Amino acid sequence: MKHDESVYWRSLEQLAATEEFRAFVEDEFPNRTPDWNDPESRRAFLGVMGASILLVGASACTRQPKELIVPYVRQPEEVIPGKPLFYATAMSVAGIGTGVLVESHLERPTKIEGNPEHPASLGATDAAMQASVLTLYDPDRSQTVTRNGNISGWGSFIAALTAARDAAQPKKGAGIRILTGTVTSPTLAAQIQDFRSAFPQAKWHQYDPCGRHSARAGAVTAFGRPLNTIYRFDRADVIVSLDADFLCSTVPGSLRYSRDYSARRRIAAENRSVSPRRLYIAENAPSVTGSMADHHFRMTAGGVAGFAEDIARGDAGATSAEVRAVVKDLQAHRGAGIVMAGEYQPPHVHAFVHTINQSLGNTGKTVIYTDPVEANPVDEIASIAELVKDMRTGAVETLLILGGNPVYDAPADLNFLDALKKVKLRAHLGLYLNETAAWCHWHIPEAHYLESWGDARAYDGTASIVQPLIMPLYGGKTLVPLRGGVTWPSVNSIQGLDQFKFESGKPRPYLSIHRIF
Amino acid sequence: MAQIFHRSANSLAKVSIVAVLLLLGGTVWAAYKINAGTFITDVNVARAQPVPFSHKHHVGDDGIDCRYCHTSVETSSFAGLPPTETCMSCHSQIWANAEVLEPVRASFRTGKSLEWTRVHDLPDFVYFNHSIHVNKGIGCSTCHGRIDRMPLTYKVNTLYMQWCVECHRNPAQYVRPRDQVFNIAYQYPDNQSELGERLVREYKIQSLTDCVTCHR
Repeated sequence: MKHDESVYWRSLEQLAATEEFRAFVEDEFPNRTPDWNDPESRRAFLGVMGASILLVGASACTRQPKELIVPYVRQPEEVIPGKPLFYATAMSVAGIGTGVLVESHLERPTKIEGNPEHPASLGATDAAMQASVLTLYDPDRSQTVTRNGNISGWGSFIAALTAARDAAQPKKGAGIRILTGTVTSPTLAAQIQDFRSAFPQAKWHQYDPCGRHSARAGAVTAFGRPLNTIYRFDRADVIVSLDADFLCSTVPGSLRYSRDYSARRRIAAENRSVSPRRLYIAENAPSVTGSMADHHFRMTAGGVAGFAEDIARGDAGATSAEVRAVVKDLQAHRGAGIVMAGEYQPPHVHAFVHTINQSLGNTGKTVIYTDPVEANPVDEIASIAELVKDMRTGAVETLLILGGNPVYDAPADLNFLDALKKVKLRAHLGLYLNETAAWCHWHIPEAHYLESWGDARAYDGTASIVQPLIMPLYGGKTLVPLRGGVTWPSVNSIQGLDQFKFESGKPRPYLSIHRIF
Repeated sequence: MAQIFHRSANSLAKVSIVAVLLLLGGTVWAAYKINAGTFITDVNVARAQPVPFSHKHHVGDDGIDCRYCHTSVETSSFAGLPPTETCMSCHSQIWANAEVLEPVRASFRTGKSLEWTRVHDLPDFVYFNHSIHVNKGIGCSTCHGRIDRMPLTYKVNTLYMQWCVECHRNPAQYVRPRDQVFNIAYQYPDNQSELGERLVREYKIQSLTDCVTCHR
């Protein structure tokens, strides 16, 4: 068959048109078990099935096996067998925390729901938060300290790090690098700062693959410094989303935004004098927010920038009926409109959006600016690029990767792995033995957030305490230490709960504090 | 041509039909008897325990209230088994050196729990909540019998579904005043049907016979 330009293909296999693929397509039931049509085995299968159905009743012919009741030796306070307790903690995604209430049966966390009193949750959760309790019990989590893939010990790791620290001491820490995800935790940030004041030449890099890189860069373009933007959907009448899927959990604060957005829709459904908020969206792929929009403008991802520019120019930019309508509506609701840009749009679109909101008087009313949520906001793409450059020149001797998986998810053109191989001492802290762990000398199992002390800031800056519900199942270490004092973050900030000196005879004192009801 | 079957085949056939029916009936009867019998139900069979704990002594002789040990019976689905600490609150003073209590002292010393054998063991697909029964006027002895006369604990009822449903269909026959729930020697009065009807109304007891009440 001749391929002319107008022929579309749906997969590479179709384009290659191999013999196997043709056979695969022509077969009515590909992927079936081959012996399904074999009369012999089919008959045997039905025979066995029939017999097992007949024998199902026989399974009831048994005595109940012996069952034990194992009471406490000393019953902890407030624990009533058969009744769950609820603990308030916070889960972070890309550094941004959301308050949750965790149900706990006999000191085992079982279910996660939103904390109704936390401004980022209001009692709601997203799928990842619901699923995170399964990560806690995941038997595939890394379970031990490894060195070059072999089981090792925490003590040996500390010895190796101490040697590296002492070697870097005369150079004021030059050659030591720490790579974390986006850090909003005030405690962790303070500890890293402590370390850096003792070792001024050491550097701290941050990189999160799903971070808010464009939003951060857009704020720098518009205001000259990074700022955090909070949207008040409860005060907005007209919303223009430029590829921003703010009802889906890809946007920090989306749980709160969804509540605020939908609140008046519910009232409007019953009361005709209340008009629901009007939502315009310009996007290139269907999204949750797009499906809720009153007016949906389909355009290429690159076309959104031009659309934003047209809106920014106001009447003069009203080249099309759509833009004219949007601009008219926004101007009719000055101070009660929101224009927001999505993370997939480049920084200059974010900068446009800040200008538009400013000129429409939305700033301070529906669009609030605050200091950054991040403890140390940096351009994360530049940060990891700098790290890769230094690793390549051999300037990095010790690299501590605290969480994350940069070998897998760092920008591909940086070729992170090639540069990483030049570092003399590489250590990785993580929940899983992932690609990064495989290329590091040391791997330390990380404690799940339900096993850790810590803190995080929410999308609006609310500081939220992370408290453990259970001792680390696999001896995991937390990012945030429990006691300061040591000026070495690897000793200090990865220290686990097992380092914490409990009062003797009271193994879990934290269970009765920070409890909200 | 000779007959294929002998004459006696007629009576043989009749006898075998009766025999098969008898055998089938006998099998069903035997299965029913075995299922209702002690071997399967463990009714009236005392289970071996790490410590020969006597309810007869503690409840009958000493008069200790049920809730002293089964603390969560009024608030939780599980009545609660006392932690070793509760045993030691008395037995650090009395019978402090008794040989028979060594497992209790060992548990307290080492921090390792005592492992009791469950006597009343519902299947795992059945949900049961102590607190609702206790709060609606179903006494301990209604299900657990005269526990104050048991040197070793055994169950007096099969805990079969038909046994549960018998009361759920008509709670009035077993309900008693709330202040008598923990009275282990409670006797149902002669006017139980009258009193029961009144208490069912007063305590707003529903006759819950939906499958999902217990099989959730």
